[in-house]
Parts: sequence; structure tokens; C-alpha cells
Amino acid sequence: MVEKKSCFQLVANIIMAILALCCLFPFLLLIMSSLTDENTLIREGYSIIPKQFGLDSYAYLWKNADQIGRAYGITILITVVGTVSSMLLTILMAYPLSRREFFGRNVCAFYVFFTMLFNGGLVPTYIMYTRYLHIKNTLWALLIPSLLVSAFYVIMMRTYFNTNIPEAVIEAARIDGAGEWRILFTIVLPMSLPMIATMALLIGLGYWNDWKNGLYYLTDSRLYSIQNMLNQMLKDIQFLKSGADASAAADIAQDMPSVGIKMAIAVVGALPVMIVYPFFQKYFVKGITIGAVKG
Amino acid sequence: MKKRALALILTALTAATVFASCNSDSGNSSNASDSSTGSETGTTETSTGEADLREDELVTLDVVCMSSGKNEPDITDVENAMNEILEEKLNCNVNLTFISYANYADQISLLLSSGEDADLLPVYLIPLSTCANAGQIAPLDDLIDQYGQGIKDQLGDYVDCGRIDGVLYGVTTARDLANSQGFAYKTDVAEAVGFDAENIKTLDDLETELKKVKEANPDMWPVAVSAGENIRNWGWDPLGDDTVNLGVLVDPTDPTVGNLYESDLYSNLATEMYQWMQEGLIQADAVNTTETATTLMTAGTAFGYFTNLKPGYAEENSSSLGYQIDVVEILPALACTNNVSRATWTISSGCENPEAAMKVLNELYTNPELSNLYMYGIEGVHYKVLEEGGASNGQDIITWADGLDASTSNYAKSGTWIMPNQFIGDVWEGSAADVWDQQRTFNDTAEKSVAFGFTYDSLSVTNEVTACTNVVSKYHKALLCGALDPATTLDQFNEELYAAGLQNIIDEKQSQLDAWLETQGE
Amino acid sequence: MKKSPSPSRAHLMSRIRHNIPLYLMFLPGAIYLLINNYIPMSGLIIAFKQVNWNKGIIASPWVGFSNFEYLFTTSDAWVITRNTLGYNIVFIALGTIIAITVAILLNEIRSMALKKTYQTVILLPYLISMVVVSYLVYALLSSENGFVNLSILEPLGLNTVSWYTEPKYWPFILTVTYIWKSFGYNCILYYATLVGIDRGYYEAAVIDGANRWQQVWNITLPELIPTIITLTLMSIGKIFYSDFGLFYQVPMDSGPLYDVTNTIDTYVYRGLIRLNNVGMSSAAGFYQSILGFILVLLANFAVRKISAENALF
Repeated sequence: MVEKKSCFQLVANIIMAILALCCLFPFLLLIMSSLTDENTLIREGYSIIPKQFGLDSYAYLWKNADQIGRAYGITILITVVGTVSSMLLTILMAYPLSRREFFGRNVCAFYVFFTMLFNGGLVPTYIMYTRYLHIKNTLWALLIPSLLVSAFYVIMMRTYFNTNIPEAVIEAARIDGAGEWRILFTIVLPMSLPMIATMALLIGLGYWNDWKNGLYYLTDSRLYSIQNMLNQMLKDIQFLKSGADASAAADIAQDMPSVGIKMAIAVVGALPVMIVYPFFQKYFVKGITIGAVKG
Repeated sequence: MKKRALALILTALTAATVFASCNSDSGNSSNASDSSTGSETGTTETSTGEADLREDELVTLDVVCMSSGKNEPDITDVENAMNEILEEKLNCNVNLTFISYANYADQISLLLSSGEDADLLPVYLIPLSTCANAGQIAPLDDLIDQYGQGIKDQLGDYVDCGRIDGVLYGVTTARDLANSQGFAYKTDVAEAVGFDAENIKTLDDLETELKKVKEANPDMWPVAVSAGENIRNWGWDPLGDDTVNLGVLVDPTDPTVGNLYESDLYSNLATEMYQWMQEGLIQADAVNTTETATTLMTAGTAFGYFTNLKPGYAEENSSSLGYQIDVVEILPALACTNNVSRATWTISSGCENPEAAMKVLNELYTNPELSNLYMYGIEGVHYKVLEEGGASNGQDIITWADGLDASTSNYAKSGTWIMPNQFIGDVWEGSAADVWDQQRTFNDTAEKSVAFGFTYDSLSVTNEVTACTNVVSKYHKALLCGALDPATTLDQFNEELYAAGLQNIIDEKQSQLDAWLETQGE
Repeated sequence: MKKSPSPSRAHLMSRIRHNIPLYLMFLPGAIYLLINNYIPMSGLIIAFKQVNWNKGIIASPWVGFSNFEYLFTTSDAWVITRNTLGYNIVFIALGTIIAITVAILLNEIRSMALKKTYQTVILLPYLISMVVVSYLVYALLSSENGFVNLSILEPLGLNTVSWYTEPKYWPFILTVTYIWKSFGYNCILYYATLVGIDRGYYEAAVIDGANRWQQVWNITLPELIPTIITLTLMSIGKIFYSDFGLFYQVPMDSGPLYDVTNTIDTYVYRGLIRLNNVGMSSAAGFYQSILGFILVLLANFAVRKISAENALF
């Protein structure tokens, strides 16, 4: 039995290690290419052990430290505020949908789900937000449009409540005289920590990685998030493709950031998530114990 | 259940429809009232004489333009300086916005569709005809006749390239409006291998010279390609279909619309490129490269690239690249409508005071002081004068103010060609003192296509255009990079094009062109 | 709802009254969706109009279905539909299997340190934008400096491959890229459900003498079924859409590959990039949505027949 177990552990570990390497390798390539001397990168291509190291890319980022620092600050602020408010709205929306006695449950579920399928296109949304809600060139623009409540997360949350919270627990609390708000916050939520941690992580990533809101609703580059900066740099090459004149081409060639810089920004954009992620992980474990006790 | 859900959605939709319609109503009525008040001020002005162009009340206009997307914290200072001039003369103010070229197409589409936050802007990267058809920009004929004489004087014939179905919608920026085709290359390498530009009159000549480069530098690509596009144009008039060439004048002196991809010109060009690729003259990864040719040249792995040329091209690029490049012209300059209408200043249809907008635009085209402010910022703060009156147009030769460069300036000069009229302004250090006059002459003396001034409207053949565009992007770039063998692919390419409806596009273009030519004859 | 015995009016009213706190909870999100999604949805009619923004959407002339024509009159219609659906079906099936397998493996691993490391590392690809991914794929496959040609095929004495002109490899490359980029994300969703499963079930099973396999088969998988169904139903709704970055940027828009890389989204993008026609692009979106919608309704109906519990609505 013991032998069998350790054998299983070994196989599981080997498979996971291979997968992890597959995920790690390209990321290492990314980091190394940001550390490679620009001209070497173009001559020799990408490699894990660069023939010629170079810190030019990071020196360039350092030179623009104030701009990048501000973009970082904005990204962090938006991610924190966005995740908290989005989680609150998502949970509040998902919980009623998970309750069997909620009258109109299916209609409401459909109301949520339908938004995943159809959208009216960018222009009507843009008009709504700029003409009526006036969020253009404000931080609200990064926070509110399309990210605040996503049907996907509401439905995932609802499915979790449905599967993992036994109806009996809620029923018992109700008999004890607890209201819906109390049931949600003192019983259901503590039992759902793994999913809440997961949702917070995914919603947070959504905010962290988003560049579309900045592209549509910001013309003031001082409000750009780190992803907006990266995206702008990556798109310059597409701009060249889309057909520029001789005059334009000269301009852009001059301003175009090098590959190394693009890679460096991609690294700078992804690293903090790697640092924060482990903090979420403890909730995956906590969930088990609380779930076990309550269940 | 479903029914109720549907009912809910329908209610929401109706609500939305209601608000959408009243908002469009209000848009209409405000437009209508604008134009009526506009004509009133127009009449009063003509009666009080030409001199006073001042608005009765201070008008603030949102002026949008494209830039490199760097931070420009000093934009308000420049704005104030410009407003001082404009307020005195026109009682107008401007509110400047810059959008980076990466975001430009997306953001101006949104600005133009919502009709807000933009009164004056250059339409670039999205076709002028689309904006005109979608009612996003205002017709300019009356406005330019009344307030835009200066623009007409500055641009001459080239104004007419902004016409869609005879109606003027945009005025071109002053830049290189014709294109000559040629090759740009690194001077030091050329000198080392004895690359003789004097000898080059044709592609075959160029091939001979490029082989010298290859022989002496086996690790260097003689021809590098930017973003998969090796040669954009080799002397045909694409009649508005710039990169896809659906129905072109293969010979720009003959008004017969034909299929470029069946022409001898094209098959020779593709064959030549294919041969070059076999000989290792073209970068192997040309079609999929993510780099620009100049990046490769900087890294020392490439020698040169095909490009369209303009006067001052070598100087301008040498100074931005930091090493010397030279150019050799192979095909002489040709002026086609789409080169001109590709970047035009327009007044958005949401603009509440189009008269004021036209006055400001006219001022931007004719007032050097204003133009310099807009292009380069404030003298002494952002730039300094090196030689007063040193330029051939009477303006100064300038450079960065002390201690500044492109990355540290708070009002970064970039893309003066997208500003209304760089020809009346200062000349940046490193360019020839007469660079603007050279470009004027270049534009004036360029051969004009027989369809010059004709803009084609693709609205009736959109289905065919989408299908053909997909076919073209499948073959065209790869063929001109030499990655595909024309002997085996050209026939298939053409077959797919005709299956996708190319003939309809050609017929439609021909009939529009014939109709236009008739009106020209009158 | 129809099948439940019709409740008396008074009973219904009292039920609704009891539900008031639930309605209040639902309300803020519902308002947001109204503003962010439902009101702008009026823009769907753009698909049937020739839009003139100056007149407004409502006053623009109707053009019936003519904005849709270009999607069907092309000889590529079959290819792009086949590619879009084909890839999505493979992605959904393979993606789900791999994500679940990894989630279960992850759950079984004892060492906390290793577990955390794996969990963090497999999420890495999800953090990299598709454009950057396309650079990395290019770094591996470029014919000049590519890692595969230079460091694998050449040393082995094999012929190098010109990857960007050989369509036959691309269904595989695209699938691997997709799975690589997304499995960490999907895995996390399953994993959260997994760790929420009551430990008591497993303890009881161990007492009954069930081995690992039997535990996975009899406890873990059944507990995951609602999540699998929900995620699959949601993917079906998007089955006529494709990730633009994956199909356009990763193959570097390479012409010779179109037969296996052209999807509805890339076709529409290429066709309209110069026309910039809003009517036609919203027609494409409408077409993709309505087909997805019909499929979801059918799938949801089927799920409802089998286990009403797990239906989406």
C-alpha cells in the first residue's frame, strides 16, 4: 500500500514537473531575451543562454521610471479596487441564483447568461459611457466598463454554491432565525473560500491584464496602466503593416521600441502576479478545513 | 419562463431604442440650428467685410492629432500660446489632444461615431470614403470657399483628392503627396563593397549591385523586409485600394482598369523577387518577420530595403537612425489620389461650429507662427533657433532646446507630416534648408495618374471586396517577398480572385472612373 | 416552473416577500448589466442598417440582410466555418480533459511546496499576452533562427522545416499553443471545486477499501460534473467565435497557412480592415452570437432533460 502510494506520488510529480517545465521554458526564454543584447537578439535569435548579455532594455525602462512607476501604481490601484468591488457584486448576484426557493431564478439566470452571448458592439457602449456617464479620461474608465460584473464569474460562483454548500446547512441556519444576508456572510462565504480565492485571483488577473478599456476610453496617456503601455508598443508594428507613407515610416522607425524592450515590459507586467499569487494559495487549503468542519 | 425573459429583454431594448432615438434627434436638431446660425454669421461677416473673422462668442474647438504616444505634459502651455494667437484673430480657442499611432485608428473611429470630443482631426488609417459614407465628417465645399482660401492656395490641385462623389470632405496635409520608388541602403557597407548607385536604373541593375554586397558579406541580407511588405507599389495606380490593388491602372496614363495580378508587370516583378530569394538576396523570413528593415540594418544583418521615396528621405532617416543611409530612385514620382487622400484634415459632423473650425484650419495652414507652435512647441522651451531665417521658406533652422532630446522633451516633436502644413514652418536641424521647397517641387512636378483626383466608392461591391481582400492577403505579400513561386501560384491566385468576384469590382471601378472622366472633360 | 403544482396566489406573494433580501442582492449587478450590456445591445440593429452616424442609428436606412451576404457568398464560407467549429470542439474537449486531469493530479500531490510551485508555474502562460506568445512561437519556429530548426532538427541531422509555409503542422501547433496558454486557468476553476469537496466522502471511501482510482471515479468526477457542464455550456455559446490573437498573430498572418488558420473572426478582420464597415462587422458578430445562442438553448434543453439541477437556466 505504502509503496503503491509513493509510486502514484512519483508519477503525479513527474507529470506535473513536465507540464511545469513546458510552462516555464517559454517564460524563461522571454526573460532571457529581455536580458540579451539587442543586436545579438536580432542576429542570433532567442536563446536560453544569450551569447551577449545586455541590460539596455531595463536601462530604457529605468530611464522612463516615472512613467512606468505611475502606470504600475494605476494598475495596482485599479486591480485592488476593481477586484474587491467586482467580487462583492458577483457574490451578491450569484447567491440568489443558487437558492432554489428564489422566485424567478431561471429568468434571472437567463438575464445574466444572455449578456455572454450578445453584445451591441463597441460604439453603443462607448456612447453610453462617454456621453451619459462621462467616464472618458478618468480612472473610472479602467474600472467600470465590461469588467465589473462578468456573467462568466457569476455563473461559476453560482455553480459552486449549488454544488458545495449543502441545502441542509442553509435550512438549519434559517430555522435558527438567520436572515439571508447573515446566512450569506457568516455561513456560505466562509465555506466557499477556495472558490472566492479563485474568483478573486481570476477577476484580479482580468483587471491586471486589461488594456482594452484604456485603449477605448483614455486619450490621456498619463492614466495608462502598465498593460496599456505594453499594448501600445506591441501595436506599433501593426501600424506599420496597415500602410504608412514614407514620412510616417521614418517617424515610427525612430520611435519603435526594440524587441528587448517589449519583452522586458512583458516580464515587468507578469512578475508581480507571480509574487502575489502564493498569498492566495493558502486559501485553497483553508477552504478544505472549514468545509470539512461545517459539512 | 423563456417568454418572460424575452419580454424583459425586449423592454430593455425598447428603452434603449427610445434613448438612442431621442439622442439622435437632438443631434439632428442641434446640427440644423448650427448650420442656420452658421449661415447667419456668414452673411453678417460678408457684410462687415473680409477683415474681421472673429467669432461673436469665444468658440473652443477640440483638435485631435496623432503623435508618438509619449507623455506630453506641456501640452497646455502650447495650447495657451496657440490660443493667444487664435483668440486675437478669430476669437477661437483650441483644446489639443494627441493620440498615439498605435491607438489612432481605434480611437478616431470611436470619436467620429460618437460625434463628441473632436471637431478638427486628420482622418488617417481609416478610409476617407468610409467616414464620408457613414456621415461622420462634414462636407467642406461651402466652408472652404468662404473661409479656406489659404488652404486652396497652399495645396493647389491636391485639394480635389479629398472629394468623394464630387463633394469635398477632407483637405490633405502638406507632405510628400507623390511617391517615387527606390531602394534605401547603408552607406558604409555600400562604400566598402563598391555598390554603385549610379549604375542602377532597373531592378536588374540593382540585382547586380546587391550581389556584390552578398558576396562580400555572406551573413548580411541585401534586402530586408518590414512587416512582410517588400514592395508596396511599382508604378501602378491602385485606384484607392492601396495595399490590396483590386482593379488598378497598370499603366497610369491609360484609363483602363485591369487586374494587376494578371499583368506582365506583376508577374515579372514576382518572378524577379522569387529569383532573388533563391539567390539569397532577400531575407529568408521576409513574410513573417516581426522586425522592421531598419532594426535589422542597425543590428548589422541587413543592407537595405525597398521604399517609396521623397526629397530629404536619406537625411531624415539618417538622423533618426544614427548612421548614414543613401537612396537610389528607380521609378520616378507618380501622384495618385490615394497617396493624397490617405491623410486628410476633416471637420467632424458632430462639430457644433464648423465655420470656426474651418477658420482655425485655414489659420493652421497659413500662419507659420501657429504652425510652428503646433509642430514644435514653444521656442526656448522645447526648441531653440540655430539659424534665424535659415530655411528657404524664410523660417528658422531649429533643434532641441538645450539639454533636451526626443525622450526628455515635454512636447515631443513627432510626425509633423500629419499636422496641417509643415511646409510653412521651421526646418529641423539635419534636413536640407530647402527641404520643404524640395517637397513642394516634388509634388508639383510629379507625373499625375490619369485618374488623379478620382476617388472610388466601394459601397456597391463590398461583398466582393471582402472576399478578394482575403485572397490577396493569402498570396500577394508572399509573392512580392519572393516566398512563393509565381510560375506555380499566380494562376491559382487569379482563379481564386475571379471566383471571389474581382471582375465585378473591376467593372464597377471602370464605370465610376468613366463617369468621372466625363465630368473632368467638361 | 410550469411543472410545479400551481401555487396559490397568497403562497406566491409570501414567497416573493421572503425573497426580498435575495432580490436586493441581485439588484446592483442587474443594474450594471443593464447599463453595460442590455442598453448598448440596441446596437445590434446596426447589423441590419447602413449606418449614418450623423442621422443616428435609428434613422439610418434599413438594408435587410445585405450586411450578412459577404459571410456566405464567399467560397471560403465552408473553410472558415469548419475551422472555427473544428478547433473549438477540439479545444473544448481536450481542454476540459487536460484541465481536469491536472487539477486531480495537483490535488493528489502531498508536498505542499511542490504543489504551490506547480500551481503558480502553470498559470504563467495565461499571463502573457497573445502577441508576446506569437513572438515566442516565432522564436521556436522561425526558419532562420528558430530554436526547433537550429537546436533540434539540425543536430539530429534532419531536414529543417519551413514552419510558416507548411499548413499540415498548424492544427497541431495551434492546439498545443491554445492548451498551453489556457490549461492553467481552466485547471484553477476545477481545482477550486475539488478542494471544496467534503473530505468525509474520501475518508468513508478509504474505510470501504476504495483505491485512488475508485475514489477519483466515484467521488471526484461526479462532484465535478456541475462545473464541467457549466463551463462547457458557456463555451458552446462562444463556439462560433475564435481567439483572434491565436489565429491571426500566432501564425503571423502567413498566407500559405490560411486553409487551416482562417476562422470567421480572421476572415472578417482581413476583409473589413480597409472598408471599416460597422454594419458588416456587427453582422458577423450577430451571426456568431445567434448560432451560439441556438446551440446553447439546445444543449441546455438536453441537460435539463437529463439533470435539471445542472442546467444553466
